[in-house]
Amino acid sequence: MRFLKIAMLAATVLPLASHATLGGAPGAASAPTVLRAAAQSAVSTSPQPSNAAPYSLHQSIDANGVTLREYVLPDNVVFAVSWDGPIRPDMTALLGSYFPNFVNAGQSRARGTGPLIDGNDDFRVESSGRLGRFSGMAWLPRLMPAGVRPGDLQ
Amino acid sequence: MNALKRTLCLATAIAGIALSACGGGGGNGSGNQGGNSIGWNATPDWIPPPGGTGSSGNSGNSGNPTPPATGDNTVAVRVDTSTGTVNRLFAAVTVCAPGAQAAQGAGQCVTVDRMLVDTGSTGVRIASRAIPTLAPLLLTQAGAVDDPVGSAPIAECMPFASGFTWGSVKRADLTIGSKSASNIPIQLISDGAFSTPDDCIAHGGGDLGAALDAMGVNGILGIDNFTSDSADALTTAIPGNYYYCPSQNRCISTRMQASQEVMNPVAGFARDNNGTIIRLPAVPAAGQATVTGLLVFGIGTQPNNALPANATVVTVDKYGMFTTQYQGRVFNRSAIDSGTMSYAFPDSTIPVSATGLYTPTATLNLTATIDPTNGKSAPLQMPFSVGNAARLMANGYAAFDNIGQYFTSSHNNMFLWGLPFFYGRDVYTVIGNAKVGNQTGPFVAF
Repeated sequence: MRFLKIAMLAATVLPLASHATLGGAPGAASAPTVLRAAAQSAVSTSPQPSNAAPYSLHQSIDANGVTLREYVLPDNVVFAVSWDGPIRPDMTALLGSYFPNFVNAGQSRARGTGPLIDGNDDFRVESSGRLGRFSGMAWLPRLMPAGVRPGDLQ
Repeated sequence: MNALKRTLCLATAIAGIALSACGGGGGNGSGNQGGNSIGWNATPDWIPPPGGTGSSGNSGNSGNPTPPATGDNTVAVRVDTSTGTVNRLFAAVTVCAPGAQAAQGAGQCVTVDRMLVDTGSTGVRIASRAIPTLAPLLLTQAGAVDDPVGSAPIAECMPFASGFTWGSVKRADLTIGSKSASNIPIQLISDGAFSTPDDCIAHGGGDLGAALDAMGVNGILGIDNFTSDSADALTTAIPGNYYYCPSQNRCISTRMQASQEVMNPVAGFARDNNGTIIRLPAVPAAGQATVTGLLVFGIGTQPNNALPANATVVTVDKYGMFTTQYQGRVFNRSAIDSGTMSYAFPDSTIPVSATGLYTPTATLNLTATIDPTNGKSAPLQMPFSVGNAARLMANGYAAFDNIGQYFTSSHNNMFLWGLPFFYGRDVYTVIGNAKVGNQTGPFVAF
């Protein structure tokens, strides 16, 4: 029943998500008020020509005041996202087709009220906070640029 | 144990100190807020001094714990293997239909065990499956601020770090130990009364109710620094928080009045209602199969709950957070949280398991600085240990003071002092603006 609901929710979101979100192109997040969408050159830990940043950062703030960051490969695919704000953002919009992975991570193991840190080689997520302050990050390990660690993403 | 306790009482009496906590009857709260002045050392001698590692230096009785002074304001808490997980602190509560105890209504009270004791959230949340016959007898909470009619039942999507709990808000009488709160709002988790709203799932993610089911946990006993659970819902209809539900498949996001929000039960007690103390004994470096301790109600209200003069007092913000510094990084969303099973913080130099647990080859002795922002206490260098979680947890024990979890994100400003922090300490959680001695809440002290 719940799975059905999640599947239906994903189905209603997917048409919107076809041009957006984790694993897709950036700019997906629930109709964000884009403050700063200009790509920034990001720092890489691997030796590369200075004009060949391995990814760019798209940052926005959504209608609820949540700061969203999308980390984008040169071929315009989002390989990591992070959020930080008074609530968790609309995760169906932010994670797109990976939303069920987040759901499963949250309820498939024995969980308490503490932070969620979980995932596998396809998808990893960490989610922390309490009512009023939430933050987290999700990324696709297989798409991480060479020489960049998830903790390096600024 | 009893003999030892009597001996302790006798020794205490000889020393000329107040006797009222001996014999279990409990002292009559004298209204003496200045707990420091009555000369009672609230720290039992089986607890090593703050800053100690618990492994040595506490000569004498470290292997033979003596129970602390008990009274009518205490209830047993424990960490055990019943749920197949580690570092989960449990207590039992009794829930009744409002007024049932006075009316001696048969079948209208149920004692629910395996409630997760959580100083990181507010309010009582009970799995509907744990009280199947009682659930329909609880009172429906209605009257949401944005409900134009005012009679629609209120339901909550309570967001936690890993997911949400969804279910009706009900009013119930709640008893913990011998302390009762009458007619307070609680959440009935997964009661099936109303379909989970789409935005509850979209913002919430996984159903924590399902995860609790899987563990055999019957609910959450949220006893943090606050009286009601959502400060933000008082002003804003937040997506994925409170709803009023005109029909089974139609719940609408709403603002709330504080008095209708799910409530910290301690704040609802007639006395000993200004906070809590969690008292857990120290555990060995290799862990311990089970741990038994005490949850004490009230601070500075009885002989067994005075705040020591030398306690570190950490003022918290409106989200229960303060600042910890670690390796030069400032974590301004730090919390002391019994509902977190680890020390959770980022240190990319320590090996990590697939589930984010630190797995150093040898136990690491680390230090972080708790920075009490009220300026009343000096920054405190807090030593803590992180062992190899995979190796430690292989022994099947339930209690460890050295489990750590890795936060990856460079934007995560959280440093969580989870249940490992609580072993071998008294941790005081003061609710709201309560005054204890000359200190005003909300604060955490230890």
